[in-house]
Amino acid sequence: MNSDLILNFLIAHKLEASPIVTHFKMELVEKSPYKIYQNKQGMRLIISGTGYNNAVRAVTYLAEADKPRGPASAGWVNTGIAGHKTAGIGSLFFINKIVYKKTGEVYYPALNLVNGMSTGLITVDEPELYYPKDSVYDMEGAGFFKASMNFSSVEFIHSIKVISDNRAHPTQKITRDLIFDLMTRSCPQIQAFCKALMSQVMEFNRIASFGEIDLGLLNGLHFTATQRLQFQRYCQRYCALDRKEELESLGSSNWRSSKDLLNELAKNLE
Amino acid sequence: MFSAIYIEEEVRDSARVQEILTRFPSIPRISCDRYGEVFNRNAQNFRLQKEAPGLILAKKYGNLVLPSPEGYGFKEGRSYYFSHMLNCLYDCRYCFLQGMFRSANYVLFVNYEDFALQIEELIEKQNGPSIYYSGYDCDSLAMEPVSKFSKFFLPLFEKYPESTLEIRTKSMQIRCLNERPAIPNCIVAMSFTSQESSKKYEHKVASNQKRIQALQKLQDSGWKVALRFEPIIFEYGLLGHYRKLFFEIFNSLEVNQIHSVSIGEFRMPASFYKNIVKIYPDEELYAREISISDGVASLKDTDANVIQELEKLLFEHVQPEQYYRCA
Ligand code: SF4
Repeated sequence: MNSDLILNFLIAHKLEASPIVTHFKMELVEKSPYKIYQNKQGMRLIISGTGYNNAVRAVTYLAEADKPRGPASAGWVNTGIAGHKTAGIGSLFFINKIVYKKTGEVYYPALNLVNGMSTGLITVDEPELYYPKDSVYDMEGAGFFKASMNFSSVEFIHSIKVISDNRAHPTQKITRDLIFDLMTRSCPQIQAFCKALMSQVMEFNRIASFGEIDLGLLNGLHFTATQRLQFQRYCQRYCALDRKEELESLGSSNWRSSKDLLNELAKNLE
Repeated sequence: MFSAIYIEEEVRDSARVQEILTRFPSIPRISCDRYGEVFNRNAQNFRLQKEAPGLILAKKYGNLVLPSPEGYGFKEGRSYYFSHMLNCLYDCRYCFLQGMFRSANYVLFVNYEDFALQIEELIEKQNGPSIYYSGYDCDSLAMEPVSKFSKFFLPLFEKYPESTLEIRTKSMQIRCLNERPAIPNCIVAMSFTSQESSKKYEHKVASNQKRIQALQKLQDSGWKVALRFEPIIFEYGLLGHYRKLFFEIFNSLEVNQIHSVSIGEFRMPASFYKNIVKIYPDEELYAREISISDGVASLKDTDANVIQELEKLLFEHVQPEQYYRCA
């Protein structure tokens, strides 16, 4: 996997995904067990299949595949078509609350980057034909959010839904062309949002990796997991105190052991 | 002003909530059962949220008024604190709230009447004076136009001249005070750090100059004011910086009318400190050497000698009876 991945899309169906794949110039990089697309700008898209459990599994699959690239965070966006009692076909909503109808579990996506209409979402296990509440209805949102929270901070997890059906235009009237058309028309707004999200993720990762120094450069010293953390914190402190040059000069000396180096780094800060 | 307003179902219909909602017709409103669903969940980042916090309108249960921590405040009978709000509009990098809460969303507990009931019960139980600190988990006045905190609580304390309300703030929102007659048992305690420290760490906060002007206006209107010099954070030229600040402040105010003056070090529970380091690994303040004693983290470079020197400077302006050192 690419180490510069910044944003993951989860979309239930290929029909909904294909305008996004085209718009963001993604290419198929994996066919099985999931179709996964990726572009050079750090975006990746997985087609999860319908339903809560499929969304959980797809998010987990992507996140597990990313483990080797270390602790860097990524944004997560679930998008696709959904139903609503009254909202017009083609309306785009950012989701501000997700309820899983089956269990009552609730999630609250942040709205800090949102510049558009927001509303609640109810995730159901069977297609909703009557839209009893004034909310958006889908079949993946809750599973997507629940699973993504295991791998990312809530500020980076978002659902964007495009209305394809309502009481006046029921699900039976949804056609392939309509899906393609609705998702294609939504791409510019999704793109604007993703741009802001990606820049926030990049800034977050920059801060998270502040003061990182390649341990491999330290003359082959062996670090235990705890020493690694200590060393990382010393590096952060030297950099935050504007003493990076001292750190580099200490790091480039010959040390008998990592313990000696850590002791010297500590002493020098006193 | 807020990215969203979360409203606990239980308080949705209260007049206070409705009034607040009317002020912000275009901010998304999201209902929740309990504020903790949004505020206390895992996997959230205070630093990210601080860029665009939401407002949570909630009801607080249980003990709403608690005994103050040992050494907090001045000695005028038993002391208590209460928090009608969690988190602050301002963004002081040294603030312990960053490490205390996972969320930077503001929580406003709107059941003021329940706070008032408990405060009155406590006041009536006392044999002598007692003091009530507000602004422990927030800035008491910063959100006044929304919270109407002082509008509600000042008349309450007006009824009990034996008990004192200290409003801790850095805010310019003093119109609510100056528009009404002063209450002798209410103290407006304004916090200051040196100009240099303020510039470096106190983001979104009014300048020292503006805070001094606010205190002047309050004194002119008959309000008792107090000065809180904290947290003291070592910097090169610290004594000179504080000498200048003291000069500016004490030349602008009626010194003998100042209720109290205090100095406090930078200190916070070590667990909060560790949480802040995680979200601000790049912050110079948290890269300094610290010492941890009894679970409290403090800066090694800002030791007792620095505080003593500052006290000496302070006593050039105020009487020792006006002073206390924060524990
Ligand atoms: S004004 Fe007080 S409560 Fe607000 S951020 Fe600053 S230190 Fe924290």
